[in-house]
Amino acid sequence: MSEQAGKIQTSLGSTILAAILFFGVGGVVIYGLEEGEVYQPDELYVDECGACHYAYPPGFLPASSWQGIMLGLEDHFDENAETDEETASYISEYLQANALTAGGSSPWSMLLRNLPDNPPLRITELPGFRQAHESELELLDGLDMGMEFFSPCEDCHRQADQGLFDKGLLRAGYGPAAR
Amino acid sequence: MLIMTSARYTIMKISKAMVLVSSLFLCMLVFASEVSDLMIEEFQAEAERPFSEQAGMETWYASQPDGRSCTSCHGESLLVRGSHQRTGKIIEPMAPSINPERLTERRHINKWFLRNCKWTYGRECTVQEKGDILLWLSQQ
Repeated sequence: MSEQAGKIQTSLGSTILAAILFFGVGGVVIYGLEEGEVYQPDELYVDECGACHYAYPPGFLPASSWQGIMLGLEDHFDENAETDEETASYISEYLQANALTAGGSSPWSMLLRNLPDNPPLRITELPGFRQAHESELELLDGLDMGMEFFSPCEDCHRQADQGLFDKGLLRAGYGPAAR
Repeated sequence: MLIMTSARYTIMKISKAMVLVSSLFLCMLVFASEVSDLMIEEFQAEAERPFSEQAGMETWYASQPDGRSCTSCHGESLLVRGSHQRTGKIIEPMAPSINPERLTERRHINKWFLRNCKWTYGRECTVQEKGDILLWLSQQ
């Protein structure tokens, strides 16, 4: 091999290696997900249950809570969220299969902390949730704002639709003005 | 004088295929907007009186004693976005002329009649009410 060809080969190889390291390492750091791990909620679930509010990830509530919600769609926190039997059945199955479970691996297993025997229907009433939002709760206590303040996760967790709730991805701001 | 070469044969075949695909596509476009027409027809068969756009509009805008009405979430105009009266979630415009996706899916139409009539009136809408509203909406 001539000297020139050797030099070209070295610089080309270095460039390729640099590119691999840059995109490879950068990829892991930027997205903060395990390799191959992507939050992909069921499309029908998002369509049916995400029309009026953020489609809460199934892994946010234990199976019994989801069951309670699906049985009370006619009075879903003072709203009507009914749908046809076939769709309700499908969604129930999906929720049960992906619910918050002890021993399961999930990015939200902190929600299992101090889970009572009769878990609440509201995510914001989970002890694990309150623990994760302790400082925010203290702040709001002084402002006398109800727990409904926390209902739209996406107001502060701007990448909630992608299942990302890292502190580093927070944005302060709430309400229509922040949308 | 038409001499069929292999090139011309290919062009002919491709042209025929394109015509077929385009007409199928056009059929789909026409069919999509006929979902509400079909439902109006089906409702009319069960309803007491012929449907009227005027009645549909009045039902839409009427306020219940507790203040609830369709405008609570959809806003005063069908041409602009509304927002959920409680969660603030954006609701795309109802007018099919602005939002072509509206009134194209039977299951969607039935679901929202079920949910929203029950929220607004505390009961399901009658076939008469559904037909009036659907007729009015389809013309907006």
